[in-house]
Amino acid sequence: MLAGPLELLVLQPTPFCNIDCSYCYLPNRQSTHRMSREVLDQTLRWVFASGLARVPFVLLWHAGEPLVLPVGFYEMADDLLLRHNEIGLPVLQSFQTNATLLNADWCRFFQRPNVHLGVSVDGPGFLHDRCRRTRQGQGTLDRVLRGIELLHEHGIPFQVITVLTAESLDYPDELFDFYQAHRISSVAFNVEEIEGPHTASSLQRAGTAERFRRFVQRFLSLALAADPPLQVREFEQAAASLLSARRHGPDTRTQENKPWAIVNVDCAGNFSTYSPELLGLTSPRHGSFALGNVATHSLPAVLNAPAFLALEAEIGQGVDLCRAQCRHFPFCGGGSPGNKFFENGTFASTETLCCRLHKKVCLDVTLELLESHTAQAAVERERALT
Amino acid sequence: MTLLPGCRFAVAPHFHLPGDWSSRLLIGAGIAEADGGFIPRSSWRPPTAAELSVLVEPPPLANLEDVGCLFLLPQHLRAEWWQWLERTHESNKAGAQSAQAPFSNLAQRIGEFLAFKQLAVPDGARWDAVISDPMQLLTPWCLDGRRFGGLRCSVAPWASWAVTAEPPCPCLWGGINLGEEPTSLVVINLPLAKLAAECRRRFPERPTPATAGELAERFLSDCPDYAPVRLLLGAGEGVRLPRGGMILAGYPGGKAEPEMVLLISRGTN
Repeated sequence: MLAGPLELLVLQPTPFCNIDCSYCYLPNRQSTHRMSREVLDQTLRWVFASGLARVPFVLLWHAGEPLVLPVGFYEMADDLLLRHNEIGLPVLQSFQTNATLLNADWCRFFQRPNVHLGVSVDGPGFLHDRCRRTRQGQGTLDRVLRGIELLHEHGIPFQVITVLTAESLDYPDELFDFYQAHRISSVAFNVEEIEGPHTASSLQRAGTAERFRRFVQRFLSLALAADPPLQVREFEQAAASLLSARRHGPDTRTQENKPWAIVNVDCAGNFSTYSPELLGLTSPRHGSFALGNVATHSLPAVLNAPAFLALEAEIGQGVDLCRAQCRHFPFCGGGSPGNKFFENGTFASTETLCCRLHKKVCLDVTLELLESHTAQAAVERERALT
Repeated sequence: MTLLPGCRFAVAPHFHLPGDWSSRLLIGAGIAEADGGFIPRSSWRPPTAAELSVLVEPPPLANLEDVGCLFLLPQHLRAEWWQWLERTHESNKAGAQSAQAPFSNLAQRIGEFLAFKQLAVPDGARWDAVISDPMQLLTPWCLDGRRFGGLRCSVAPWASWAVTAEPPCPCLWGGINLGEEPTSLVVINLPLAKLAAECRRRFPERPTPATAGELAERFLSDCPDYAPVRLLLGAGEGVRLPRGGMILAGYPGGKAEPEMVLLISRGTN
């Protein structure tokens, strides 16, 4: 089996997060463990020795608040990356942060090339501070906005990720105003998912799919009419999927369900593949989703291990079921194994909350927009000709 | 006089408005007659807890139609109003009125927004942007502002007050503060049917007026001790009036900038 190529390397510098969001899926976010220099060195050596790193990839610092560690940790990581990346593969480093710890030192660090920054913010205070709170129960928006202002002052581009809960779906205009007011030009929406210790989502309520559709329709109409248009990841990804034929081959799978396209490594060097949320969790049937440790397990050894083979077989079955049953499969490639497992109890399953909302609705609404745009353009062309 | 239970206010579902009710409502000291119209007396005080319970509908809202629903226009639509105003001003200066961007475009977008929020404006509603001198004590929140002279009824004055819930009855649906300063609205917190009941209670020997306009005048003249209620509306905030009609007027209350209100009425075509 030719594994990979690696597209996304998710490294957990620490499981600790300085805030305590109500929808967080991280089980150990109170743990203050940190990835040591030794583990980081072993990790990068493992990645480049595995043969998975054959094309440019993204190194995402996530699964805990990465800015809890000092800037020096990432400067050290840069040095190690340079040392182990002997073939000089382009590596984009990406940080997903709650922005509450941003300061001028961080901004100077983020000004270097090949760094991408994602800021988690859920919109105006009445939405953001409902879920994104400190351990003392206080809202965090003021601190996030100070961080965003610092990024603007230092000219650092960033994308915002907003988690949509049932409450948010009533407020597309208010979210749009919030992004405009804070000069946020690129937005991605995640849905409140059922993952790990977060075992229920506000989006499970009856009638959510229709509310979600109306939200997406309204938000996209505002975003696309803005000058300049607000970039919305869901629209851009859905449009790309609809317009490309990449996904209709029988072997096509997504980054998240393709083995070793993602490698997740926790702060102790334990690694997994597929959905990052699986790392650190166990199941009675599969045991730990960590497949090994960078200090002790080589990739070839893991590729032939029963744990990986069983996981891959079940995830493959799930993708086959999606291919057979879902009309959106050509544009999706099969759902997230993590979501399938946490919602349906098995990877060999199909639809999830995330599929229904995030995938299907976004694809359908984007298709409607593209079709109406095409029809309108045809009318205008006809009018011009006559 | 103690406020009678009648129309209540609430934040419309699917909206978030800043502030609490005790800072949004003020209680007046009765009604006075001036220049042939009726005006609230000039003293205002915060509501008591008992008055708040009469004036504010606690969630969840059971019957939305009978509640005065507060809402907030998003910033992008408020900005569009100012852009429209500026363009209109420019084209008026240039003497090219025909080149004005139609106000109906903005009205349509506000209508779409309110429909998304499930606070839909009735089909065929009339949209009037009313700009008034803020030095006036009261400004019109009624169907015909040209004949404005104080507190007025939200229902067409010639309509029978008894059938105000019927869709054909022309009435003010609601209004929005388009200015960037807070403004306020003075209301009598009773629907027309309760105004009639109160008039009958006080003067049982007198026949009840037939029309909404006459009833409003009768109440204001017969019940000068009844406390009007002042509802503060921040920039971009609006209110959808409760079904059943009510007496009201705009009350700029010390604003520096011109009063700008978007009035939406139904059944006027």
